[in-house]
Amino acid sequence: MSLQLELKEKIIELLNLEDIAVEDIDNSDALFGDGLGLDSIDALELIVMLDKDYGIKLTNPNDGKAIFQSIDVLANYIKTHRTK
Amino acid sequence: MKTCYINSAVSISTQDTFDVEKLVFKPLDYSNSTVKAKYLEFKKFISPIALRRMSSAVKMGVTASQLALSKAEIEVPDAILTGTGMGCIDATETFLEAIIANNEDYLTPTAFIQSTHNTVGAQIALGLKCKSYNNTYVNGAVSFESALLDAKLCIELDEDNSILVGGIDEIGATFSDLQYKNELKDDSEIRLPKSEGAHFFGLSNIKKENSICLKSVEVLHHLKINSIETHAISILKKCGLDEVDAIITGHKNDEFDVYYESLLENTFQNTTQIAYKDVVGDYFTVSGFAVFLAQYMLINQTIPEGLTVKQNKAKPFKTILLYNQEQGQNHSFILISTC
Repeated sequence: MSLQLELKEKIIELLNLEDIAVEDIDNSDALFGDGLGLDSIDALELIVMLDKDYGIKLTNPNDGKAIFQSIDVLANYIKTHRTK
Repeated sequence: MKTCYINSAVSISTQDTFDVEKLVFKPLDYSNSTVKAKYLEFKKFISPIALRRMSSAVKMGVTASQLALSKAEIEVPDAILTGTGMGCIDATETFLEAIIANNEDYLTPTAFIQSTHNTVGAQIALGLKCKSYNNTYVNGAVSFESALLDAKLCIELDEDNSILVGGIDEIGATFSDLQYKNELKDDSEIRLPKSEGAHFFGLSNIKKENSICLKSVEVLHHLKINSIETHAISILKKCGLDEVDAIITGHKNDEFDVYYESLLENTFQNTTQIAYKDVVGDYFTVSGFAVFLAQYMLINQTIPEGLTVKQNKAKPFKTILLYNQEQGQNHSFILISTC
């Protein structure tokens, strides 16, 4: 399974996006704002997920803005920084 | 002192009670120790963005409150008062399990935010942009009654003109089973399943077409079994009554039913007696269902099919007394009448 697909499945389950399927999320779609419409509470959930599943600690939550732009951007960040 | 009117009553329960014209109850499924409420298509009432974070208690509460406000013709109430025994126990369980599973690390915000007991009242206020008095009572089996009593006093003392009152409880994944096992002890027979529901009411000091009067709400932690009848009579006397047309009791098919029997065996032995928990199950705020049922009976002048009824006198219902208790404690009396 590609990391992109893995992330989509995790996001759907973690954020309880009941009406959204993996196929509905394009790798370049914006996760926040006009894209998936995620918000600041979702950002906190994703920050915890990065730490728990990939060993990436975001000490500054504002870094999330850049990292959580899209599935592709997030996957690239994880590939570079993951410790597990 | 102003009169407190109940102008709307809405129920989400294990039966088809939400926005139906005629109530007909089916036997409850006793094969499991828990029975879920009949969930609606909540997307019709709540935006998908808000819905995805809500537990069933919040979904039921927000939905029932919307209809209660609409039926009572209240846009934004002067107060939102809720009662809940266990609050959002499902989110609480999720949060606590995450603490254990992750060794007190990696705690996520959603379950924590949603797990507080006042989540339902808060979500209703957020949806209405209502910044008025908002309080949640967490008093075990008298949680709903406490909210109702507060609302009644606010209306009578002219502090508020319109109030939304509700009782909400949900079944958690684990807690209800543990609670049941604790109560059952060595007895493996399911006497009454645990269940869940939401009941909301629009209260006001203005009488409307289908209004009923909330005459009295009393809550007592301790009451001796031989004082129950005397106390009920004293409530009637305070309201200028010698008798009522029906009594709705919270019989649970357990050893504490003797409290109900002590009320029903003398003065009220010829009064129409109705029990209801055998069709909706048991939870801390199930007495909200009793108020909903009484409102239905007073407006429609009929007892819904499927209830356990004794001494049915088939006379007009003008006054109904509700009595509930939990394991011989937390006694509550609610007296309502036609206007």
